[in-house]
Amino acid sequence: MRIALLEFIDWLELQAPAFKRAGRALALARSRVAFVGCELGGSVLVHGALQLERRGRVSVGAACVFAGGPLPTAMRVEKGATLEVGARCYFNYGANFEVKESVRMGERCMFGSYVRVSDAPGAPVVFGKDVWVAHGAVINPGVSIGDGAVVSAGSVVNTNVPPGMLAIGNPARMMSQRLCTTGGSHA
Amino acid sequence: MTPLFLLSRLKLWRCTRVGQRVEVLGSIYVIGGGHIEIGDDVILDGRLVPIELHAEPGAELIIGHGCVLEGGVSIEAQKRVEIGPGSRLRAFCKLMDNNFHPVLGSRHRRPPSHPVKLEAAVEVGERAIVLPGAWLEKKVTLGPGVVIARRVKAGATVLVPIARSAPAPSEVEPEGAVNKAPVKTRVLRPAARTVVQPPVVAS
Repeated sequence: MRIALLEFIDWLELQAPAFKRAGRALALARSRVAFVGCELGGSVLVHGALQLERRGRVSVGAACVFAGGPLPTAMRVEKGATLEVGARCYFNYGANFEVKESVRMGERCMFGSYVRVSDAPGAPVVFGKDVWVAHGAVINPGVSIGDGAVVSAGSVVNTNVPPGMLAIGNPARMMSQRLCTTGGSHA
Repeated sequence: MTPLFLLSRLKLWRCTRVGQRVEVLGSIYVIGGGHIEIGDDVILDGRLVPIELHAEPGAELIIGHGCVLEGGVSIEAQKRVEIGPGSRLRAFCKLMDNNFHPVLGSRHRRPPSHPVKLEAAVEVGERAIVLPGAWLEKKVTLGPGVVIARRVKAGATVLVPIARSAPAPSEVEPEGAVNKAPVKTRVLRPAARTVVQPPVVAS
């Protein structure tokens, strides 16, 4: 039923811009409900389902977007743990975050669908600014990802990613983003 | 026409053309408003997790006769994605003809699309990712977790390297432990000694 409703909303939004504006207003209202009790910035949009299991501290920066889709984005923050999301971050559907101690994200990070991020006690996860984690990537505990880094689709990251690098493969190895041309970039 | 096929047609109301005897089990998520064509005898099994078919306006998504798509399959077409007859897409695999963001430069600028083509009787494994520009010829098999963005010759099997065990990080011996054997304190990241190999293509 939820999927049928999402399909119908998508169809409505294609028919007239007014419906798109209404969809945005709905997403804004949904964010207020989804992040009750959290530190929430302005203009946060939640377009689809969001499963937030909050026992610790959750902070979401301004203008973050949580996309809708077949599966909800799930966030589980344990007692005493901290999840900090920077401003203008984007989360595609089906992303999964398990926070046991600390997960911090800088501004303008992007997370693709089915991304999985988990930390462990004593092994926090840190994302810099402008990080892009592509579809299906797995970020393991204790990893720090530098500013502007890209994690390729399906990669499994066990080690730190330096700023501006491309992490690719399972387990991920580092390569320069300059090696990727625009046409052949497959992050 | 049985009620199952009627219900399937109802679930596929946003598709441009739906063939005969198409079965939709569970739920399916069709969005975008582009051209979506589904051939005869196709089975879309979204009982585990919904299947996503996404074609932007002006894009073409074509699923050939007799294909089987399992739960969690996601196909995103910005230009053209074609799946040949008799292909099988296993759970959680992803096909896309656009990266949506460029690696270099502004991440908000959409890069050009490169059509994806799967010829007849291709099998795509669980959680495999087929990226823009991929062309899988007849009877190609992609193993689970493969990420591919190039042309693969007919009949080839593409597999990821076999998983290798890595030494576990050393653990601190608890106080009063019965075992008095000396504890090695060497800490090694699990992946530090793993040799990474590119995807193996075995024909």
